[in-house]
Amino acid sequence: MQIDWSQYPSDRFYDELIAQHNGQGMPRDSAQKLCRLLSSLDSKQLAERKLAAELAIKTLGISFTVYTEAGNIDRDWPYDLIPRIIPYNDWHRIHIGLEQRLKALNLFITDIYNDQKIIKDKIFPAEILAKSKNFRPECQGIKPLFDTWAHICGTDLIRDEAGQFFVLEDNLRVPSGVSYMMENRKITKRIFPEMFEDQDILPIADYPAHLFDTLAAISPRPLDYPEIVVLTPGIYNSAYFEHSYLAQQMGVELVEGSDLVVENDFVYMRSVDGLTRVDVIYRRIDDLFLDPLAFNKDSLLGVPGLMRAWQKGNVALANAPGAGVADDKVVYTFVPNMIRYYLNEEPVIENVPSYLCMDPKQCEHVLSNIDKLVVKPANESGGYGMLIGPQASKAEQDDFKARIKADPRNYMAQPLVSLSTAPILTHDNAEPRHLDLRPFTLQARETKVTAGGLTRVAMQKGSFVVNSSQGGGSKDTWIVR
Amino acid sequence: MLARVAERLYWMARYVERAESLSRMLIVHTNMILDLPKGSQLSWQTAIEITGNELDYLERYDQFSESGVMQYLISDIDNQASIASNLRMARENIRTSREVVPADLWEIINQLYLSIRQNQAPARSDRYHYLQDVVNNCQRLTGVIDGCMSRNIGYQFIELGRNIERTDMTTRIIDTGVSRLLSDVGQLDTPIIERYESLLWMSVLQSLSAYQMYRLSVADRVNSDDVIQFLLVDDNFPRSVLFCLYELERAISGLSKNEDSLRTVVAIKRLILNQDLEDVQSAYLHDLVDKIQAELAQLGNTISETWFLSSIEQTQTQSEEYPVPGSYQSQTAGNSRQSQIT
Repeated sequence: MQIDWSQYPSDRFYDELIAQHNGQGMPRDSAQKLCRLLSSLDSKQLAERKLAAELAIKTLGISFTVYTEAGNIDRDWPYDLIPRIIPYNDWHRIHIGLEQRLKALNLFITDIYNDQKIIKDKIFPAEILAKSKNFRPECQGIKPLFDTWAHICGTDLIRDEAGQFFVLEDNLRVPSGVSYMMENRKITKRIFPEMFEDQDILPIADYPAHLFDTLAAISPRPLDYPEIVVLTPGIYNSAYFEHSYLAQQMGVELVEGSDLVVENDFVYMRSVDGLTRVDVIYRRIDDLFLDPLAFNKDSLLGVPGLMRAWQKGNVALANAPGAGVADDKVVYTFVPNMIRYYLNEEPVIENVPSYLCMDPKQCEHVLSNIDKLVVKPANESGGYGMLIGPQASKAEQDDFKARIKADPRNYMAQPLVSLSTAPILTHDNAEPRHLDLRPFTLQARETKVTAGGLTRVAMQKGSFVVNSSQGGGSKDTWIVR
Repeated sequence: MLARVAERLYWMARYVERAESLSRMLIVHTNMILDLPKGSQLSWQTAIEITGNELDYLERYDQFSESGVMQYLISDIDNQASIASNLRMARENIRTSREVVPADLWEIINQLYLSIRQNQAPARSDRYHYLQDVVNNCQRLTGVIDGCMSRNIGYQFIELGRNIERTDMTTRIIDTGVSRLLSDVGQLDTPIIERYESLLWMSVLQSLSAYQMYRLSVADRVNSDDVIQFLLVDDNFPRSVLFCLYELERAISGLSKNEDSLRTVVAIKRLILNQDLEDVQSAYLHDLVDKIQAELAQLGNTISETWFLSSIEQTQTQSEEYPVPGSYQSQTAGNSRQSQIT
């Protein structure tokens, strides 16, 4: 049996590869070559390619860790071998929009920790800040180089029924996934080498070089090759694979908290020759675990004295502590206004329309329409702690109503966006599944956006949950010129 | 080079080397047993003795049967000295030092580890293939390190681990192998000894991949004195004890704070160079090997105290307010030789 695209159901949602014409599926222009290749393979050949991909993932050791009650499990990275394709012309606008957004977010963070003009000008309410879990008083008065706090940003984008892109979330603390984006490409090249021969698919392998440049640019000592390290919570962290991967790709040391020591407000690492000064730390540890002297005093992951060293400007941290103040889901609703306020531009990519529960009128709307809305707490990530109204039971809905009433500042709600789909390879056919896209934006001296990003796909039929911690998969993403 | 990473590289090299030499030893041992006459005392126990794990073995297995010994040494993950355990630890150490080693190492060790995990207890007829596969892949790892890794500090630590492990294996095989063989053979009838002596010494050489090179360098028929001399003090064979000591000396010289370690290496060199190795008795040899092994253990401690994080932490945490977690180290990196030399 071979894939018959005309029978592929893509009428209810926007499908990335297959359009609908007179009730029949038809590959979009940018996807024609791929779809032709796929439908030329019989089930056996498809199964062989699928097996080859699984084998590549195993031997490359591409894994992630799932935390369960029974302990941590290392799982093979879930990958679907049909790539998701975005035409360059569509992508170009997104690219500009992501740069614009990160610039505004960084200006906002600088402003919040310094003059707070945006509050004085009544664009952003002070009470949100007062209740923000990610606002760090320790950061007040600090101006990092290039006014950049979030050097690495992972933005979650989704598309609605019409194919329009929206920003769902900004991740400004320790966004992960970029290594999987690169490994997905590596696998796809092994599986479909023929596709790369006669098409212009934008390469993504330069990300580690750009990341290195970004980190080197913020070094307190202006050296050609400052001492940069990646700080990981350790091998049991779900993203350890990525930490190790990035350190390897950049040619820098991968350290744990116990490898670092602060003396006289300078940071050193324990090397075989003694102590070596560290200039830049790409930290993959949450703020509160960074420094037991400043934050969570029980943290064994962090480095005592690190915050003081950073405050004195003796070491750069990426992302800077306190950057998370701008990626809370309530603050999110203000980002379009930030763009207008700081850049005097209109947002290129829109937010998903949102209701703020702190506003009594909007809260009323949320409570009475909870069965139609997605409700999110301000400070969770990874898809935890949210309610998908249309798919929730009455009891779950009531539970969330109570939570919202108890702490309205902590919640916002959005209509359930009908995420776009793309075909995944099932047993021997192609079926649509919902997906999102996480491009990565780097900012210091310059701003860079990855060509595409990590496409996360819900492997369950009809599911909208794409998080890999909850059974989501991934796809290679092609920007095709 | 981070102290933590140096430690992982050192142990990675030791585990890879150990897995390879153990696999080769088992191949040779199996072949030799097939050649010996019925009723000979040479048994599967010898293979366990070489690894020094008799007590641990007897706690979980009834007798020194072929299947028991093979399972214990090949696939038993509760035995930290088994091939599977060594490869698991090697993989874990490569996994956690990927940023400093050639990328191919990870793919090779991962493939090897997955294949041995799938094929947990190879049937007798597959055993040769299985063991040879481990040997081949360990050699690939060594080859990638040799051909693709810069001679930086990390490389010196790999050299340290590899050569300490080689010295260890060579002396073990000389000791347990040789003395055991001598006593076994002593119980056989004289004509059998004559018939099999060469064969036994050939096996000893083959366990260390030394047979061919021995033949090139020693013209006489294979005999005990020459073999022992070759394995201890040959200048050119890369698994002779003296050669490994030269390599250790060179690797240590490339590191800072190296005085204590150098002192121990030259002490071992003097130990073997000052011996009269003509016509050695097995008891005497046993004594010599014991001394070398004790010095090797000392060298391992000195290396750890001088350069590794687990030791730095122990000395520093006393003065620090916040203890740093180092429990992971003991799981993968070091201290896992259950059976230090007895």
